[in-house]
Amino acid sequence: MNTRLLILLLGMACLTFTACDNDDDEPMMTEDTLYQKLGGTTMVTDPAGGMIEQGRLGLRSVVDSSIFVIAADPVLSPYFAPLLAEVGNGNTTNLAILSENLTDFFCVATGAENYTYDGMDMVSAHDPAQNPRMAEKSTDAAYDAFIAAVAEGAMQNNVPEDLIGEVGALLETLRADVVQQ
Amino acid sequence: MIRSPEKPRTSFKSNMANSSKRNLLIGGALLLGIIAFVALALRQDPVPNAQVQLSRIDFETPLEKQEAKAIQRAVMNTAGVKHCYLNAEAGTLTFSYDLREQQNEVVLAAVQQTAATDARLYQVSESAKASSCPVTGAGSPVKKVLAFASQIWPF
Repeated sequence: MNTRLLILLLGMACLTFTACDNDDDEPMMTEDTLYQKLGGTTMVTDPAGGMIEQGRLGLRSVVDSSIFVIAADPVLSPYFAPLLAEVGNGNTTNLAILSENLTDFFCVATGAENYTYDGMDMVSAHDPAQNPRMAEKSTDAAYDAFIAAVAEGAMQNNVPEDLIGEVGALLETLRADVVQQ
Repeated sequence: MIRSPEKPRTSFKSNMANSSKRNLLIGGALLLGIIAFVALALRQDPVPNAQVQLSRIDFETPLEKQEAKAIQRAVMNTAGVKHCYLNAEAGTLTFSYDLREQQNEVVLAAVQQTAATDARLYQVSESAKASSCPVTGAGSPVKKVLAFASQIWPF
């Protein structure tokens, strides 16, 4: 009986010391996601009403500013024409819908955990054969203009240059999916 | 001699009736659960700035810096206008306004009073309306199923 107890105690001691003997002494260094760098999950007052995550509010502001630049750009406006189509009072405008969905997309792409993007994947969405709302294939020039518009939208919202660079790099990773020529 | 209490006898009919009632209750509860689930899934938070409309004014020629500044000031001073952006090189002005407070023709009139350059509202053709940036959120299978369900049960 005593032998069994001794074995049991030895086993527990081994488990205890093994559990302690790992690399926990060095703190884990995880890099913040772009979403976290833009404010993350800190709740702030939403100018549109209620509360909102600071990261999402920052991205929405950038998206909203970018949309104005996009709609004013003759190269891009053919792809975004419905934005400028008038809707009746009481209807949700295309500006509001695009702002919401593009913000969802950016939130997920930059690492937000509390939001989802339900739209089409980028390849299907930009293929006229799969998406009838895509009238024509997008070009490199149009995508360059799009990235420039987002950068300008970010600058209008005083996003630091290094973060604008990260957003640009993120958009570059999508170029092959969007430009299918 | 003590007799053990007899269990109350129930007829086959009453057993069947009880069983049917139970099944009906379970079925009803399940149906209510499904309806509640679909209702919750279809419920969407209100879209921020749902009533903010975007509009564009095109100028005949590119704009000079001073003229561009004066136009921007005139637009922003118009009631109901939220924001504007002027691409002087392209000669385009985009602005947003609250549909409940303003009409784009009024903003155009304010611009025409200020600008020396001819200006007109950008009109979207019917064919152009059919195409857009595809980040519309309407492509997921779940949303398609829910959209179909909402046609059957309009909440």
